[in-house]
Amino acid sequence: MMRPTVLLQQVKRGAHSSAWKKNPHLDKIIRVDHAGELGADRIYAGQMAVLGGTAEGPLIQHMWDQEKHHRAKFEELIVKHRVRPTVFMPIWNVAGFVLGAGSALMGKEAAMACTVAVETVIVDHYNDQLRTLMEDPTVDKEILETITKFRDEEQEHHDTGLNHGAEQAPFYKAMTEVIKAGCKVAIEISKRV
Amino acid sequence: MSKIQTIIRSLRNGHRLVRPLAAASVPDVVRPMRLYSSQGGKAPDGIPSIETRATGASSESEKEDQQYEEDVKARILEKALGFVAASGWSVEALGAGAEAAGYPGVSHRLFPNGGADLVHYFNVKCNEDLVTQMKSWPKEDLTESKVPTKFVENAIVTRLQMLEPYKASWPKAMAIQALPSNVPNCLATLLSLVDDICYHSGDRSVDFNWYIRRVGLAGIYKAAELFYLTDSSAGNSGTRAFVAARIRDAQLIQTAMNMNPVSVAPQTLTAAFVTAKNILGINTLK
Repeated sequence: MMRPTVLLQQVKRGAHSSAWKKNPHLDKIIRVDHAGELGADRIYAGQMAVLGGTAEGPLIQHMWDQEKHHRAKFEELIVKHRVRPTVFMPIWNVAGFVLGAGSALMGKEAAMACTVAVETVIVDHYNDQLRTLMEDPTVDKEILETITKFRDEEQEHHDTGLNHGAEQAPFYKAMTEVIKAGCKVAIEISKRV
Repeated sequence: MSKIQTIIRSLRNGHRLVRPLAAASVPDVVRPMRLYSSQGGKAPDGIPSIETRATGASSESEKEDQQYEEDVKARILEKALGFVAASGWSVEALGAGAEAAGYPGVSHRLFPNGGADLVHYFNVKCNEDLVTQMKSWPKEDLTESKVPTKFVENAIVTRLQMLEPYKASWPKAMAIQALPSNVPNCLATLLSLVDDICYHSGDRSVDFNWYIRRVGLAGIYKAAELFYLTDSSAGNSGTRAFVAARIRDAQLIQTAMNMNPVSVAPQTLTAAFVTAKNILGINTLK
């Protein structure tokens, strides 16, 4: 009964990922963050496709540019640490765009509510990661700083969303809860596969 | 711990799926685990000792013990490779290797999987050798669409040539690797091999191509391995040609995938028509 466990542990140790050797959490962290920033990038792309011409356009564009920068940074880290990207990338790609465009179609308030919901989950998630990383004294400073900086920017997006009438969105409570749950599921999946 | 977490954990650990569903909920107790092989089953007298371990928490001295044990194992395995030609990938080779390394012959019981452990060690060793070699190879200039064919071809052929001393017994080793209990290790070494080749050949993709390249390369490698076993040409030129042809095929598929489906519709239709004619036996080009 115990043998499969032992075998799998051997497999894991045999894996040639440099991130795995340094810190077993690092592999997961980089993969899930890359997936998350990819999704965020696509959400803003979806919102821009619908709301690009309205008064909210420049605001969303600004947040989108920041997300693009985040994504580029994590793509760089994935290569640097030789982390396997998540299998579900094509799905997050489409799902992110649909979520962004769909919420934007319900009006600018709904788009902002979507932003608030997503960023809440992401900020919490980054905080959890920072806590995990801090436990390790030999932690990679670059990753720590990157995540701290991105966490602050996501928090800013969250506040921007609230300032621009997110709470006036139809079914604000229900909608944000559904989106939050979806994000959490996506995070758990991306950590593993 | 909630039931769902238990199920997820057991899925990850590869336990039978049904048990956590069927079992009554038991509070989270630390159960003694019986650990074979590398986890710490010290067996100087040939009998794997039973160790109980609470999950997590391993002290410094335990780590040292483990390191010591790994060293002993590595020495035995290294020596055992020399007996593969005579005894095959077997417990006998391990026993002979242990004696050559200065341990009693029964030390082969350190390796509960017998020959499979020897094959695994050999694979890991060859992969590491290949990585060291690849680091010194010149990098080809990479543009967006160009595939470093020469590099990949060299890597695969070099890796296959490492099997040369064991060519006669390698089919047996492949059979051992295909046993269900050895598949995880076998896949892990194969994947780490293709991952290393992709990385050192300059693949920096972070999208789904990451998977396509690696799976494709794994397929090419395994096909070439089979071809290599029956290749008696001088200097393995046959294998090299085979690998080059497979890489070309892979490139063709990639080109085909990148084509615009509308613009190549006439060609696709013609191909379908010719195939249909061939099937019906009315091909005019005979």
